[in-house]
Amino acid sequence: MKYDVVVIGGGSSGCRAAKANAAKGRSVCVVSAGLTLQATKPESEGRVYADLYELRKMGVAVLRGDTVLSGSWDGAKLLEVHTSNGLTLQADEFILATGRFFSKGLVSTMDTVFEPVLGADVDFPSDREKWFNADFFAPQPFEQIGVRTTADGHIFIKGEAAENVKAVGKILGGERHAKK
Amino acid sequence: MQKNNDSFLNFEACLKCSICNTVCPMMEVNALYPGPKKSGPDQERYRLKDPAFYDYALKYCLNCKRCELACPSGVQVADLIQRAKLQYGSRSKHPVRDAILASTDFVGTMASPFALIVNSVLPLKPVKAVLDGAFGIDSRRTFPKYSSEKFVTWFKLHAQKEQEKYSKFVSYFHGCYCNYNYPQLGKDFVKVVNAAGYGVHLLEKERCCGVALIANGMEKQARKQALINIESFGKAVEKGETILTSSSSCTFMMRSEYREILDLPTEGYRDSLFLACKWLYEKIESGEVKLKFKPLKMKLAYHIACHMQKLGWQNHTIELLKMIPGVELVVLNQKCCGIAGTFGFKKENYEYSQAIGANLFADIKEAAPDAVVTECETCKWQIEMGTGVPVMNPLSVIAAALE
Repeated sequence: MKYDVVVIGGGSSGCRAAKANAAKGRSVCVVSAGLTLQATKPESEGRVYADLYELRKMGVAVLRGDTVLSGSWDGAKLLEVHTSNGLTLQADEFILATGRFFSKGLVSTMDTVFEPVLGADVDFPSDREKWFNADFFAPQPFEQIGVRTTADGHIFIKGEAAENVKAVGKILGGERHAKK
Repeated sequence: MQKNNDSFLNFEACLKCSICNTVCPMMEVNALYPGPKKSGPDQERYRLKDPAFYDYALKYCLNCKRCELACPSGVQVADLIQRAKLQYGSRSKHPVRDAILASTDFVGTMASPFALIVNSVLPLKPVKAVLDGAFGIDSRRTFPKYSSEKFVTWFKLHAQKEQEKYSKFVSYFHGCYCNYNYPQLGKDFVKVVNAAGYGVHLLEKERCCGVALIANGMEKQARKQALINIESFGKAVEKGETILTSSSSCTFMMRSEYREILDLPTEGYRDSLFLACKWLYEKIESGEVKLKFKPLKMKLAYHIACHMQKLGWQNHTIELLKMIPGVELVVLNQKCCGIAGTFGFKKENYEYSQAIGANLFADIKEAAPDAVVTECETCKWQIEMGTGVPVMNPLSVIAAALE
């Protein structure tokens, strides 16, 4: 199935990206693994940017309860992604909006942090002791952990910038989660 | 979804975030239902300690699977509830009624030869009053009509011979609704698949998928029928045939619930069993099949049935319908119609069923389509009764548009 844009993740950032692209007349598909804007999240500070119904009315294809498992690449170009319901989605442009640790956009183990869907490069301090600050309300270093991007938001795969994949939202890191 | 630990249906992964409660259609209308979080992962801990903790309000679960779609942690909430109902649920107050509603094969076989009589007697007020009073089948409900000629009978008499001129074949799981109530759906299926250049075979043996049996606590019978189906699927796969279906709930039952609720092996056929629309779209997309459509001047509203959304194949149907020139397509917001198979037929559930459906009916009336399109037959009954708008299976739309 071919779209102009495939958005991976149907949270606030994913829905906003989908809405912006659909408003430009592009064909858009959103893959939403679970969390959606229809449920109010404290992180979205009560703002509702676009709910899934609004997107459907704009002609956006919404896949709820589906998960992107992997992607097929041609060099630095992402050709298609494969979902848990057995769909193959092709697109000119992909937007990675899977969020951070809670939504499993990033996964941490004892010694590493990785991005599980496409394997994007993630910046994190190599010394685990430096991931957190003992003072709970102080800025937490782990809040700065996010995928590495170019100046215009393209992700890196094994050190090489991806041609047609951008990251948006919390997966970029930098939000003061604990303080909120 | 990714599994996080090894607990039963992943229930320990629940973070108590309550997102499942916000999407549950039953919670919205029924204060007696404790909601998916409590019914599923929360109470599972107690049930494991002592079955006496089983909460009888679990009977209100529609098994629409919305809670599973919304769960960010991959908890199989609805499966937990279904399994608890089967394991701990007590006998129904209306065992005869439940058996009548759930045993679609038996009732269909009995009703078909007398379809004319059954169809004219069932809508009569005194008959409905008896069904209501004695069995608890709500008298306000419109019953589906029975067909005097079963699909299988028609197929064997009029279509089977022609199929042999094709060199490629698919197997068709027609389901009870097509066989006993609406054989035209099967005829449309054969027309569409033939137009795609494939012949149709019936499965060696086919029984009701058992979705209604599970919902009514008749696990033993469901298992028996499932095993017969699984054996037939195995034989079809051996012949290299894809198994196609026209109903979303049967498909979901056979692909997922056989494994998750009945613990039966599905690996042998799971990747060869699809809804016909998904199969057809992929054949067209890959260039193997080319279909010519004539214009069809219709405004259609597509209702994504709950189990269809769980299957995740609605886009295939939407894209297929868009290929038909002249069709104006509206995709309805995904709301539950409230009937949930046999649930809405029961007297004690009628009010809840209609209250849930009201949201969807309002959307349909606003869209004012010529027909609603959906893969689910119980949704069809509910929507036709609730709005008066005719409901079609997408295969029937495609068959009508074929040149």
